[in-house]
Amino acid sequence: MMARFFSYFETPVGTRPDVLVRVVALVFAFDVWANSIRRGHSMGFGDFNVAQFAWLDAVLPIPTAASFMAALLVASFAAASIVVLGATRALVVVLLASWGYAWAASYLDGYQHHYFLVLVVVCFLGMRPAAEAPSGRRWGYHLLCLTVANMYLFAAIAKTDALWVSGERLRAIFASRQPYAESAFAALGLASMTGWQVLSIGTIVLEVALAAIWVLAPAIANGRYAKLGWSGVAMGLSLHVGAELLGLEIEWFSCYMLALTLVCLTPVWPNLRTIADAVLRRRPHAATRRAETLWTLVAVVTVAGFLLPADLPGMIIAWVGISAGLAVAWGLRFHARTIAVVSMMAAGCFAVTANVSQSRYDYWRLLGATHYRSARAQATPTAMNASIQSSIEAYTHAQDHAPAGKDHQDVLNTLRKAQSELPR
Amino acid sequence: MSLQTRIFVVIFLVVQVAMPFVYYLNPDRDERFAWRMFVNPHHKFCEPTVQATSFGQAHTVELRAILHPGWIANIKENRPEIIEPYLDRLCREPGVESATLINDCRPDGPQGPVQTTVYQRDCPPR
Repeated sequence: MMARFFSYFETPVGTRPDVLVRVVALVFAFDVWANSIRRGHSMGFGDFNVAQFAWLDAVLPIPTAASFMAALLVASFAAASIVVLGATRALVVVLLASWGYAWAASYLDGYQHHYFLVLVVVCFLGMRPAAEAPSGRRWGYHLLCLTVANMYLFAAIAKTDALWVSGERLRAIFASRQPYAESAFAALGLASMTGWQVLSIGTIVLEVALAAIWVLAPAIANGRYAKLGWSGVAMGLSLHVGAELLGLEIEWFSCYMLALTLVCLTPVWPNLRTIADAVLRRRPHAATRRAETLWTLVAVVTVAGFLLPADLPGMIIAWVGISAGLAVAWGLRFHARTIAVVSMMAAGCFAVTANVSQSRYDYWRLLGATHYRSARAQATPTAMNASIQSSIEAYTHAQDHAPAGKDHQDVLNTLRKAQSELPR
Repeated sequence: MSLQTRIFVVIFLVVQVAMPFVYYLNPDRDERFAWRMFVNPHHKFCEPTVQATSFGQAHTVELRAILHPGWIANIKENRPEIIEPYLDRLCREPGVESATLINDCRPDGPQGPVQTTVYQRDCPPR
């Protein structure tokens, strides 16, 4: 029985784990820069925090915006390195530690897909590149397939709730898109509530089917159950593209699920042997020690050039952490030149993404609003003055990064007026 | 697979399956690990009020003064794992001798009967 269970993890899956870790790591790095940064505004606010697990509160200090941002940056740089080097154990451990901290440090991170990403990174431990795991056993890939299956199964179980089955819940979730959906139901000859009910029950059926197909994903990768694989791709696409079309606020969860679906369930897989030999399993040209040293030093300076003026807390800590990583890679001769080049590219991408996605602007804007609310609830003029001052400082930063059409001058004027009217 | 890997895989899977089950055994627990995305949340519709005694004077405490709105949302769900540390935090304010949070909740909906939970903390002397 157990032997049969463990034989599941021996199914050959070819080059899919190599592709999977790179795609997920790439999405992850940009996800951090475009989305996660803004969550930093809540970290350590009011010197209060509860971690995801009670025992963590006993061992960790209260997280601050700086420690949170630094962890995010280190995680994103580790992910960027994984995109190029694959899931080498050292990089996965760094990613797991830094992202694990960023997620577990505060109970306020209620996004279940952030917890899901922790599980995914744990699975990366068993998807080491061929150079590190010559046996070719990729148990992490199989474990990830079971993890996704488990998620879909419990998501379906949760939806057996009476309110969901009646269609009421789905109707409420999509309140803003209701007219479009209901006109589509009418075109199909369905009454409004019947349409919502069909959609709700259909989602349950879809998720149960996807759970079953994900269990078979390693076999699909091994060339079996092609029709099931295509069905899984169609179902996965319809579920996650549908969620995006209907405007669910789930950040980039759909991107991750679409990437996982396409990589793991597509029955036809290009013969990557040639590409893999050329790229994935390529032994890098041995750089001279002098070249490695030079690249590492240039990377330390370049990363500082992008991070230190980024106008976000924790950038010095992040720079020190990333520089320490570069130094360790240089000291151990662990792909030192590659990691140096990747770090410089990641630093540039971070600077551009934080600006384009407005995540940096959102960080300061949300921090300003939180201090503003706090100021209005303070009992003493001294405390109120401190909160107003913090709010003014945050909104001033927000103003510096505000996109066209967003202006906080009115709020700043109101705050300054309120501050000037406080009893001295 | 090595023995260590096998043990790790089994523990990893058992924990993943157990986490949602724990929720279903006690739905008062939070839903963080139960994969209940977008399903009917069991809102408690609580209205918390906080009283503290500082330097011998009783006074009302505004939650917003210290807390980020995310924590207040959790307190309105009557989550003791957040409320208890919050009272501990209040005890760290200068002169606070005791703190009480009274949560008037309507678990059956906004029109349902009120269930009151009282959380009391006598602050340790400093």
